[in-house]
This record gives sequence, structure tokens and C-alpha cells, in this order.
Amino acid sequence: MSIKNKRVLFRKIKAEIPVQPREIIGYMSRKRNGRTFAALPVGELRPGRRIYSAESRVKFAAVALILLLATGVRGQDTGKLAEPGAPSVLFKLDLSGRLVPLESQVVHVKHKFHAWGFSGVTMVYQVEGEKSRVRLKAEGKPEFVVRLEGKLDPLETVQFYHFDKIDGSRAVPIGDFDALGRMSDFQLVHATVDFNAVKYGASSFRLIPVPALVPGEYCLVVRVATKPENKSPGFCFGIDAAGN
Amino acid sequence: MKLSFALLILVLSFGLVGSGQEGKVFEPLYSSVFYYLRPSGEALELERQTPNTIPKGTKVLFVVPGEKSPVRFSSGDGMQFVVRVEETFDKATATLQLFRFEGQDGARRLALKKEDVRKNRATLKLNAERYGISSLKVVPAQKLLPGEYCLSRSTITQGFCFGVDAPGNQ
Repeated sequence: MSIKNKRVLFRKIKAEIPVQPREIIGYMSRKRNGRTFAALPVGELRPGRRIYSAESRVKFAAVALILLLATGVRGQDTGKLAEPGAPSVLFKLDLSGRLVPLESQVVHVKHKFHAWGFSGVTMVYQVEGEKSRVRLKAEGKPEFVVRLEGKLDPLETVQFYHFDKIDGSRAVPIGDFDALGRMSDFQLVHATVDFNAVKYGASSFRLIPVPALVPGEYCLVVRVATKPENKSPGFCFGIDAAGN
Repeated sequence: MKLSFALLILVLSFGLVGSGQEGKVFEPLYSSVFYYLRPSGEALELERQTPNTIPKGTKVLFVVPGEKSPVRFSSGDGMQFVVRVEETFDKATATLQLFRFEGQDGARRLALKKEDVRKNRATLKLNAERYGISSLKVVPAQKLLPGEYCLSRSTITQGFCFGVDAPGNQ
């Protein structure tokens, strides 16, 4: 009697059912009166339970193996990459693929008034300290990694700025306003660093600056939806001239 | 027989993986970077620029350095572009932009109402369809007249620019 793909349609529990010897796999079996019986666990015989033959199981194993191999082929480039544990935290990616923490900072939005505001105001991003404690060399092009939750565009979520050293802090102007609060001519381009973003691992991105980074102070600012007013998380580093 | 069936599946699967890799369409590596897509499926980089944004009353003036883009197409060319996106199709297509700039005094300029910029209403109409695994193929809804153009997304500051010349003027 073949039990290939036979459905157990009744509630009555049978401890043993007759099967062909070649169909038995994974279950205890014994011969009685010249017929082979498979002793199935009682829990296996619930109504609707499908009992698969040995051939079916071999097929399933083959399909599972194929899927596993296919996944392995696709996942070769993402399988061993170290990704940040926390989202929206930026790391430098070193040559060995290790994630090196950057200087975590709070980037404040400050207003610099000109003539007590009568000549307008400049809005700046400002972080404490004139120099970052994380120093990189000018040679080579550093790359960074960030994990983003949800389907976010890294070019929208991360801003990359070249900061100036000003009075013991680092600052970058982000907007000029006249005395009436209207934004005046302003060129932000010189302060921003253009970068490319490429998928890295399962849910992270590798950020690659387009221009070579000249010596100076830099921060990657993350736009977070729930950030406190006038504050953003920033991840800073300094570039030193080669030989320094 | 059953074992041979399993082996056949295995062989076919590897064949599919192999052929899939060979016949793969070009997909940009970088997010939100636009490329021109040749009819052959090859991609061509566009001129990448970050325009200066200058508020002028209720309008905002976008200024791109250089009167003409170094990337030139003929108005007779089929215009189709490809961009990799991370968002869902609907969310991504709502951000697509194509602007026509006026080249004068060594720069390309475009003045738009701030409200139109904010709501992405000033863009030339674009048709988008899914392309590859995570990209969009973007095609202008109307034939582009000779002039200077930049593609962008309302979520980014960069533009990807090109010029269109009348046939025979390249």
C-alpha cells in the first residue's frame, strides 16, 4: 500500500500504518506478517496532516538545497559585511572592512546676528571643539557606512559638510537672512561635500565622497524625523595633510 | 527516476542563475544618480551639479555654473534615463524632476515659485516605469526642445544635467 502524499482525514489515531519499505524515512518501522509498518508519533497523525513518501522527501531536500545554493550565490557580496548595529549612526569603513567609530556630536543650529540683527543673521551648524579627535590622513578616499531603517534615500537622509574652525568650535553657515528675515543670496555649495551612496549589506549604505577631501574638519549630519528642535546628530572627523 | 528529476532541477537552476547574470540590464550602483540610457541598454553619465539656490521674493533662483552642459544629445535621440531608488515606486516617482534652464552670462538659470518647488509642481512631465530590481526608467512625456536640462529628485540637492541640440548642430 502506498501512502505517497496520503492525507490523514480522520481523527482516530493509529499508532502504526502499513507502508512500502522504500517509503519509510525518519520513522521507526518494523515488519509484521510480511508487511512493513511505520510507527508514527501520535502527534503526526492529526487530521489534515500529509504524510510524505521517501521520494517526496528527497525532492524536497533537492529543492531546499537548490534554494540554499541560489541564496548563497546571491548573498556572496552581502554575507560577510559588518553593518552598524544601530541605525543612523555613521562609521568609517577601513580597508579591512572594519567599522571605525567617528566622533559622535550634537550639531546645533545657531544664529549669528550682524549688528544685533539690524544687518541680518547667518544660520550656522555648530559643534563643540575646534578639532575632531578622530583624525584621518588626506591620502586615499575615506568611505563611510550608515544603516538606515525603512526605505530611506541616503542622499536625502545624510548631509556631508566641510566645517570651519571658529572661536574654539566648528561651524558651517547654512543660510543668510536680511534684517526682515528674508533669505538673501547665499551659496551653500562650497560647504557641502557631494557623495555617492551604494547599498552595503542587508540594510546599510556605503557613502563615497565624490571629491577628494582636503585637510580640514568634516561632519556627516543625519536628518532624523524625531530630532529635538535645532539639534541633529552628527558624526565628525578631521583630515590631516599627509605627513602630519 | 526521482533522483534524476531532482538532478535535472538542480542543473536547470544553475543554468537560470548563470543566464540571469549574463542578460542582466544595466542598473546604477549609486542611489539617486541619473544616467542616460542608450537604446542598446548602455548607460552614460550625466553632468553632476549642485545648483546654488538663491531666494528672490516669492521665487527661488537655481543657478548652475557653465552656460552649456558638456553632455550633449540631439533632439532626435530617444531620451530615456535610469535612476536607482531606495523608496517604494509611488514614493520615488513623486520626487522625480526635470527642469529646463536658460543659459546666459556663463551660467544656467531657472527661476521657480517657492510653492511650486515645495510641491514639485514645476517639473516637466516625466513617465516612469520599474527597471531592473530597484531602479526606474524615466522618459520625458514630451519631446525635449533644444536647450539645457537637469534631472533631479525633490529630496536631493544634486542635479544631473545635459543639453539638447537641434539635429545636425552637435
